[in-house]
Amino acid sequence: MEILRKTGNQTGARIARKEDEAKVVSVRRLMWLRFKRNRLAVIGGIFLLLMYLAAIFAGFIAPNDPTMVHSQYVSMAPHGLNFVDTDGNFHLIPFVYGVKSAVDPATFRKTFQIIPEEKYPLQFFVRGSEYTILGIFRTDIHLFGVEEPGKLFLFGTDTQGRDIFSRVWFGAQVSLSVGLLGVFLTLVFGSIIGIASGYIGGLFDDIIQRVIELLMSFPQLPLWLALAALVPDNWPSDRIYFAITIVLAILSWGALARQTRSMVYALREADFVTAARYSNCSDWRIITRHLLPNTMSHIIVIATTAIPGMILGETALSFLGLGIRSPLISWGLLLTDAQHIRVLVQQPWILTPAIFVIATIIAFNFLGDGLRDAADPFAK
Amino acid sequence: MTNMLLQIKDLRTHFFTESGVVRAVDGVSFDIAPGKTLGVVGESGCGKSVTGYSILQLINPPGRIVGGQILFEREKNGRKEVVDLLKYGARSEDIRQIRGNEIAMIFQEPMTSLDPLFTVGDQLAEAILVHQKVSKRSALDRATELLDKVRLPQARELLNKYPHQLSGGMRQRVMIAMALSGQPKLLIADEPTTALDVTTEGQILDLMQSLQEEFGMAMLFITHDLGVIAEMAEEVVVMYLGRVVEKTDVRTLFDAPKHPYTRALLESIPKVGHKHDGPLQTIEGMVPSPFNIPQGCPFHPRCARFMPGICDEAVPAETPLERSHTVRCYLYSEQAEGDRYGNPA
Amino acid sequence: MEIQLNAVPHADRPLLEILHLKKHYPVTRGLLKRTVGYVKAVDDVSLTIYPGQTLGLVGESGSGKTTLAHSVMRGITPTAGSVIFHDDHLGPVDVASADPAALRHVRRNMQMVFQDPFSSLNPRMTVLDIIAEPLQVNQIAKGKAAQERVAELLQLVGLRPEYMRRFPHAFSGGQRQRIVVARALALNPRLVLLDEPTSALDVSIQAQTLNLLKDLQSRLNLSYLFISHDLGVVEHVSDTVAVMYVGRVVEVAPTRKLYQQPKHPYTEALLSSIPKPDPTRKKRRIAIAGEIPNPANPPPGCHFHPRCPYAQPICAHEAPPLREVTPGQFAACHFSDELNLKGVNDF
Repeated sequence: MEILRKTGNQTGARIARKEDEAKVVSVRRLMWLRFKRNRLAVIGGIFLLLMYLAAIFAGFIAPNDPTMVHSQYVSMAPHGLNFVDTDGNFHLIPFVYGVKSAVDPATFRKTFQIIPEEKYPLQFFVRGSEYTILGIFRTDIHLFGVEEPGKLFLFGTDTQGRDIFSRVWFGAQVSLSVGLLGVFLTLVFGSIIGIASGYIGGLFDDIIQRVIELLMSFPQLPLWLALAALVPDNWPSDRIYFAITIVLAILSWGALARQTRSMVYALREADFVTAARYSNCSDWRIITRHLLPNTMSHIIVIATTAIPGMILGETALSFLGLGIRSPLISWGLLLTDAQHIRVLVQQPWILTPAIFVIATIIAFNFLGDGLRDAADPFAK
Repeated sequence: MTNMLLQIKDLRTHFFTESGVVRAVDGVSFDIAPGKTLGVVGESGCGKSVTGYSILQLINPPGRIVGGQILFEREKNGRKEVVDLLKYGARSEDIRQIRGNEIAMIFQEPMTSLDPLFTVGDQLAEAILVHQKVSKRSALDRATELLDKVRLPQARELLNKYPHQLSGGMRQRVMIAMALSGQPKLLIADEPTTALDVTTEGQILDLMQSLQEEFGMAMLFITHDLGVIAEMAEEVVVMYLGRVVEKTDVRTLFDAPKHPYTRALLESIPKVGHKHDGPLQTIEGMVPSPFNIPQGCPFHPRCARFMPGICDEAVPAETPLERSHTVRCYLYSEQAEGDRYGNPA
Repeated sequence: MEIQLNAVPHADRPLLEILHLKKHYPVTRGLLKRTVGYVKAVDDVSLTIYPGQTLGLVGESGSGKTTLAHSVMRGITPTAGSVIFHDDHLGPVDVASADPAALRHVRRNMQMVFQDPFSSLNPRMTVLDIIAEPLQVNQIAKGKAAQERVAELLQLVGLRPEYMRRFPHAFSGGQRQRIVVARALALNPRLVLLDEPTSALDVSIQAQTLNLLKDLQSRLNLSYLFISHDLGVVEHVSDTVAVMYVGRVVEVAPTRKLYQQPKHPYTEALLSSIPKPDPTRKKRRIAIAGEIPNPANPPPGCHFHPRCPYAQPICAHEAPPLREVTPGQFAACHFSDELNLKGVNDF
């Protein structure tokens, strides 16, 4: 019987060892596996990654200087790349026609006509206006463009004759970074206050909670407007940029602090925290080793879902003229032109930046969903 | 064999999860005679609760009953007939008629089956009105009667209380009252006393026994507690990893258990009133992952009487010993089960 | 013979003395949080634990057994009373009023194991980090030395040392409870408080865990405060058993005495209520009526009197003190001497 028993245990051990290999997975890896299961989230994540890359390399992608005024081509509709010319010949490399402007004698409106004889083929890695990437590398090579005097306005031009396509990418720099920077501030404020509130509890917690309630019961837009109006006009544009970010963050840390607090509140009573306390762990160690690691993933999820709000907030403020100001460019600022119904009707292409806003927001929401699933890899 | 209230034949309920198929119940068969109590005992993950839920087709996706028969003897128009409950759809009118009326179920945590927004009276009356065409007033009278039956004092006042105002024991009594409202032929009790304190547990067990006598109903009593089984059951089914490993009357189970698992299980519990200083008998290892059930007899990696080359090859067949005693173990028969899931016969 | 078996070796100096411990929670009402009463979760409890011995603590929900354990660790600050820990270096220390330095020292010698093995381990830390944490925090070992000690502890609780790089989610309930035990033992404590350590485990795993605990006790000369609602388990592991009912200890006695000749009607009721794994026994239960009272509003006098089959008028207004009824056996009942109560095997 003893012999039999031994063999039996060996089989058991063999089975156990097989299971072993599958088991040495960290929580982080489980989270990644779970995130990958959500297709939309992965797509959203990739889209956003590309958007942020494009924003960083805006100068490279944009064929034109975004601030350059092309006075000959004010409010010109997009005229795209052609493969087939007016004679029906196919060109392997797409080209744009030259354009001349004329005034319609009847309506006195400016019209643009293509010049079929002038063809400017698309070229890659062309030299154009100078720009810097991340403020470090100075260069004048653009991903694509056409030879002078040809003009490439993929999304048309605005009321001052600037290239909307180029401006979208430079606008992305501000709009997308405002979201990240604002959320970073929210995250720092919100999680510190939330953890303190949940861990200390008592009167401190009560006061913080009432302050947050007060803050959250303010109507958001008017408060933003009021705060943004306080930013002096004569500030340099980078300072205005940070001021606007802070304005956006002021209103959003409350929600994050609340959720962090409730998580900490629940975790504080968890047996593993009690065990840590009974083994003489300091409060600092309990917070940094036990509470933070178990709340961080949730906090990041909440923060991610706050980014779209930030981007929309910036867009709204800039649209109303109280946010980002010239010479900085942001998506909201690009849409300012669309305030007039006449402009909207006659030049609908100036709304193109809105498509980018919408796509970005949706992508963030998809990503947020996926992260939420991933944050709790043990949930069924 | 004749005149069984419920006959389960080769029941298979599997869960098709993303990480693989869990064969929670894999070829379970047993019978319940009218008015008798069958205990189902086993550790977590053995499939005892899923078996109970399968009878009433309360299996939610990704779970599915993939095979077997559940033959139930019901009275229809004064005539007895045997129907296969699995022939009815999970949402069919027939199964709804049977649920609560002919077969009722109570659970470990009554709070999950009581609606916190309605009073006890409302919910009891509702249960009565579903099955009987009576006025709301007489339904409430009947509800009071039922609360008296489950020995809840001041039944009238209790009707106006909300579930959270009651203690765990009282809630379980209300659940039992609700289960009795349709005068069922069979009561499925899934760990009904596990969440209760010892003295309350004793009260509920006493109550269930006397109500069983009074109503003449059969019980399927699911529990992990061998003490409860000893008190409540007449026949016992021992389950391990989705299969019945031993089936016998309760006395034989405790006096002369045959399956090594049953024996080990009985020896591993400290017997109250018989203190000794030595170690308890244990079962080696742990219950394997349900995704990774060992080949052959599922208990073989933990079995003290493992026979290499035999136990780890094919699932042993259910072997009849004496009277109603059956066991699935190669110590008693060399016969393997011809398993349609690809295990060699 | 009988007496010898039951006798607790009193010659030994006690390790822990709980003296008149009280924990009262104020019940507040309204916006201003006016105190309208108290929940006497632990109400004047005195117990003694001897080195190398196990004191079993049984009681139903609301009896205050868990509050008592946390008060001993001073996770909860008691309202009154003292918890004297007899330390080898510091001598007797009152945990209830100890200064931070003394408390830190005493906590190295007292550790706790919790009921739920799933919430007892930080899911973001490896087993190594979990077990090494007490060693690092108390500056006993770090780095390689800590790792060696963790390997040793894992072996001690019957787990393979290679497991230390894994995260808790890779372990079953029983294995997790072993890790919790290993963590509790990291600091070489004298006393381990076990709060329902096997309640969440399967029957077959429960036996393994109980054997492990007993084995560790004899090897390391540990003292246990073993809290459980399972009377069979408590009987198996305990030298002495205390029974609590709504915040008070109603009976303390050497295990065999308490189970065979209880001196409090509540103990008798508990013993009669246990479902016994023996179908031949006639089911004769003491019909104990009613429910456990709400600890915020317990009955006056003896808390058990409304449910007690032997209650007399005096029980309703006078709380009986805990007194020695037979040598070593204490009960809080006015009629312990007169009543002839049944033991666990008499049902």
